[in-house]
Amino acid sequence: MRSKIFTFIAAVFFLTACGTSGEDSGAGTGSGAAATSQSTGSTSTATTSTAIPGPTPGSQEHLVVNVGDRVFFDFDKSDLKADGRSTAEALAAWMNNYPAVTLTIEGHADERGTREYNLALGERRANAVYDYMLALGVQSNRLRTISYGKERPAVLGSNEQAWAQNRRGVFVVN
Amino acid sequence: MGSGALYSSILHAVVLAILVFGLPSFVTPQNATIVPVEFITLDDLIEKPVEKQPEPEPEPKAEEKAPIPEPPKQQAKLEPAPPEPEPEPEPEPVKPEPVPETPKAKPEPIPEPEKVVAAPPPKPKRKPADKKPEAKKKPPPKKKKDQLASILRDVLKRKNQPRAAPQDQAAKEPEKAPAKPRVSAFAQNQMSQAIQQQLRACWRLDPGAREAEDLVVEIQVSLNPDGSVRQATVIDTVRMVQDAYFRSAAENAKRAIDVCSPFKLPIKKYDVWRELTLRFNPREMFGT
Amino acid sequence: MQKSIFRLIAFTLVLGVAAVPFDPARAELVVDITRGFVEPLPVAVTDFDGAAPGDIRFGQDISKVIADDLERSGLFRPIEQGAFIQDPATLRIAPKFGDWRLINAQALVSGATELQADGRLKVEFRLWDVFAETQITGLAYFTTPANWRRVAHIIADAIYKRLTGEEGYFDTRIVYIAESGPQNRRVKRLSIMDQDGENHRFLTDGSVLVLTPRFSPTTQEITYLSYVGDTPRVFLFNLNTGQQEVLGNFPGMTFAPRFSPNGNSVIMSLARQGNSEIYDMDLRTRKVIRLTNHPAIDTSPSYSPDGGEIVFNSDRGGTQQIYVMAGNGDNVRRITFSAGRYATPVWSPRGDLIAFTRIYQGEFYIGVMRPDGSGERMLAKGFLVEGPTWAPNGRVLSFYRQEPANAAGIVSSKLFTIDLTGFNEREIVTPIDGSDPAWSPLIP
Repeated sequence: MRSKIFTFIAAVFFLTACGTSGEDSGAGTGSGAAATSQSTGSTSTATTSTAIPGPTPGSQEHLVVNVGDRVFFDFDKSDLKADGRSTAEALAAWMNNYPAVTLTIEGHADERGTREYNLALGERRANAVYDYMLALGVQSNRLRTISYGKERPAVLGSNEQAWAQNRRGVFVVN
Repeated sequence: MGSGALYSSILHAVVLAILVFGLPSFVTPQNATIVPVEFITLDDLIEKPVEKQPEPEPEPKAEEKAPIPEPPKQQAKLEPAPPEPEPEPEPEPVKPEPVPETPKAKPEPIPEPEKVVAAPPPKPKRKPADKKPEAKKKPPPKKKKDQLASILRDVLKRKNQPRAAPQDQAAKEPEKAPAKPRVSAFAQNQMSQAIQQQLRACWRLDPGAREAEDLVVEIQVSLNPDGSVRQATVIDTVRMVQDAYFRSAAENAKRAIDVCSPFKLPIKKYDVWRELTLRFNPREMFGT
Repeated sequence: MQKSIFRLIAFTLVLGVAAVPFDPARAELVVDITRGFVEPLPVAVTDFDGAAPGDIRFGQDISKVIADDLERSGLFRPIEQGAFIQDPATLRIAPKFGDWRLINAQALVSGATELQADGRLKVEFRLWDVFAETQITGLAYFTTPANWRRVAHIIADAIYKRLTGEEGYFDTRIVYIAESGPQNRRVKRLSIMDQDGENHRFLTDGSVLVLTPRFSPTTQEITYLSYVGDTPRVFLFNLNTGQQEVLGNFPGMTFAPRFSPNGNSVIMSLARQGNSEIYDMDLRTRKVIRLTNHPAIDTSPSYSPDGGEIVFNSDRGGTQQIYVMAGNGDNVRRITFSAGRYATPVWSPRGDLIAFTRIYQGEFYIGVMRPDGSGERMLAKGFLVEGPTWAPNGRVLSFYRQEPANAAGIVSSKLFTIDLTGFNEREIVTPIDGSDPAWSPLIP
């Protein structure tokens, strides 16, 4: 759970070439990389500058920078789209490079569904990634899944851009 | 750079929010064992049952200790004797009147035994817009309960019927009956409409009761020459006793008669309205 | 039979107004009353009388709670006490019904309180029919003074029952999820309160995500979803002991729990490898039975009151719809066919209706329909309304309403109740935001 906050902070500070989020045009907090670093600079300048050498290989930060930590889904869908599949493929390759790493795949939904159905949908999304990773040769004991339904949106806001970024699978290094 | 400022402020807010409430609870317990709850004040949570006696009528029971349904709990103090209610001894029969639950059976046998509910609706819906002057033959009784109940609200429907009854129709109908052929039918018709119209403003019903649309209540009413109610008796005495919903609907109907009393009816036609059977049938209002 | 046909013809002849001299000996006019109105019944709830000042204070407090309960139901309109003509002291001897008719009271509640020598509080009440001029019910209760509020609810239930024919629902509680913080870091706590919002308690500290609590119909237990240990699973919470326990050891996420009507089992979903199925677990034997077998999502199960059928949510037809199956999982059939998606079906304890959430054209609705899917009506609507729960008498629903996020990304979520007729929507005021309400049975 603690690693989640790193995910978030990492996303905020290093989100430059995330590649996975094609719809970065929106008003969501998670996507505005330029605005982000400049606005938070005053409070944590040190972090920003010291982080430049690059994150520890095999770490969550490393994953975020080199692979991206999430894939997105269409409304009420759980099949991986083309860009999601390439992210997953990069993830599988990355995991091959760091054989000690184990991963939790989180499944999330937007707020436009009912709670229980969204828990099931999130589980389905997490497993869509999981299944694809297995197909790519990742061992099942290195992966676990969890669904948060609509409980943990990445982006605040009740609008299409926010919802699109909240329908997601997230990879968290354990 | 307006959007940048927006991002910036949103992000600040988020970061601030995280700083303020976020971080501490990121550190969630990792063990799957029992979670400590904040506080369990059993004394507050589990109150003593106050046993309810069904009806006041039974003779006062001695204070026997009602068995407490609660599972054992560890606290002993603040656990006073389980309060058990006793049926009210029912001391003063303030009125010499009989209990309403058992209405006096009328001396004469109940005139109409057959169930009204099964009969086809007495009249088709008369919308004000309907111009055709009452077709001779009615369409087959559309018994099928379907879709929207009109005194029930549906937020998806444009116009929901207002809660109060519409005050339309009734008034404008007398002339429709041909005046000459049957004077007595005409008079009856007139009186019926007068009574209907007056009761419309007195009959309060509860459309949310179970099977409310099937709760048809027939009441036999004797009126005094001044229009006041001499006697009003629910015909189905058995159902009055057995069916709480029916009893409630019947009492509502009786109240309607009481509230409307005295009825304003022409004394010249007293022969027509002296004895009435009022049949309270809400079905039409449900749009079925 | 003959007679009824004759009457039918007669109706036709006289323009649908029944006027039939079917008994020549007594010409009697039969009048069909088909129009009335729907308004709360005016009722006078007087302050309960007492001898000592303390008794009088209890009497006033109790009277207030009763009047508030009745008023909130939407079926009664307590008359302003300032309008009362007769005073409590003479009322105790006998009501002057004329005085009460004058202010249009149709029912009258009187009562008395008395602190007993043994420290208990005696509360008695009488319900009078003002027009029939008779007492229609009357009861006395003995309780600890601290319990006065419950006694008031119990009396309100007795009045409600006598006047409507239905069991009351005032002596009940609502368990729900109290919420605070921004949406992505929402702190959620299992919480409980009286049906009127009083006696509020947090049951968990918010360190762990908890969702969808449901009350046992028979015991002081709640089943709910908890993320303890970062693993979403169905738990039982015992209100008597405060103990929480995982329900079963399933190889996946369990969620969407709900008790069976007899309280002996919990029906829930198990999600595993991307597939959710519905299981029933017997709480005594812990035996688990799988009830659905379909690669689609099957969730949000709810038993019919007799336990013979289960209504649930599935997307096996392509989108979220509502299905009914037999208690053993046989005979699955879809019951929703209108436009939009349907979710969270809950069978009424009365058996006559199923409440649900419907998502249609970008809006959410709380609706009801008959168990065969007919007679659908939408009661409430909003950006996000969800999760209906029935009061134990099957008359009133509670649900939650979430507003869209504001500019700062903050959402608000509140609890509401609504009558099944679609009228009388009320907010249940809670200390902080709330969601996922679940009504308790009448407190035993």
